[in-house]
Amino acid sequence: MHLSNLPPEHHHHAPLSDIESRVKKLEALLIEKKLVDPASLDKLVDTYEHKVGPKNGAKVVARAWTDPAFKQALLEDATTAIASLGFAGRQGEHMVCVENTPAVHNMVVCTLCSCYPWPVLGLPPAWYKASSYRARAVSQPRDVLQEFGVGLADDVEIRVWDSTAEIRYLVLPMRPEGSDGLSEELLAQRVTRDSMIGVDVL
Amino acid sequence: MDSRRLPGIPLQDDEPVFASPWQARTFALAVQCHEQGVFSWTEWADELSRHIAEFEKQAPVVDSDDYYTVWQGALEALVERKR
Repeated sequence: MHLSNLPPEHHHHAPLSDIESRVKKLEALLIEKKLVDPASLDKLVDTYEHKVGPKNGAKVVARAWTDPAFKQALLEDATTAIASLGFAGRQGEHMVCVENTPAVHNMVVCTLCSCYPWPVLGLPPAWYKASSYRARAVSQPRDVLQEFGVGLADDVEIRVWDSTAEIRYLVLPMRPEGSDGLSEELLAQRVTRDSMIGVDVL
Repeated sequence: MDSRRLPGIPLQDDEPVFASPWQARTFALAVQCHEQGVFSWTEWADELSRHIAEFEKQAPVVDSDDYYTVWQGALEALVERKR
């Protein structure tokens, strides 16, 4: 048999079996120390896969669009206003809501890691955690917005908010034109995840 | 092909929260360790940030595999330090 007939070797950039065994090993250690238990881990994963997500944030936004008192409360103390709708954080994080206006567009990043408002948006999309977004959102926000399909007039000020473990930001997008008279529920359906990160306009 | 997709920023709507079960597991391990008081969330974010910065000296974080591999490394280091 000629060497050339041998199947090519497969090189994966991160052999999953290695990482899988590392995770299993750590889980076994933490179970042994009674710091975690498998049932709670399953429940946690299910929560973040199925229960917490941008739909929560969309409800917050739709309420703010339709209830001026709630909007004021949200802008003054987002943590409390969001908790009043039943969405509370697990890490004691402080939430801040920043409002888009015709003159100011807000966008959110976490330059150092991936801090994100879990209670209202769930876990971040892959691009939010990627080096390119984290580096460029700050240095070239207008270009990044262009890549997301958002073209802003030159006189619109862009404010980029860098999240931390303590402070997570939620963008309050502008209510779409032609949405007068829509119910809060229908309005919530118009709110996209990306608009609440500030890389989409409605 | 999504016409909005440009080099550098992969855009995917409706991507799964975790790309593989091990990613979900290491995520949940960190959250539960925090809830059990093994470390504060600030300590965790600091550790994760350091590991991301270290990783980025070699290569950019591109996808979920990269990200949760770094996450797992940070968790191993922090648990080791706290034991």
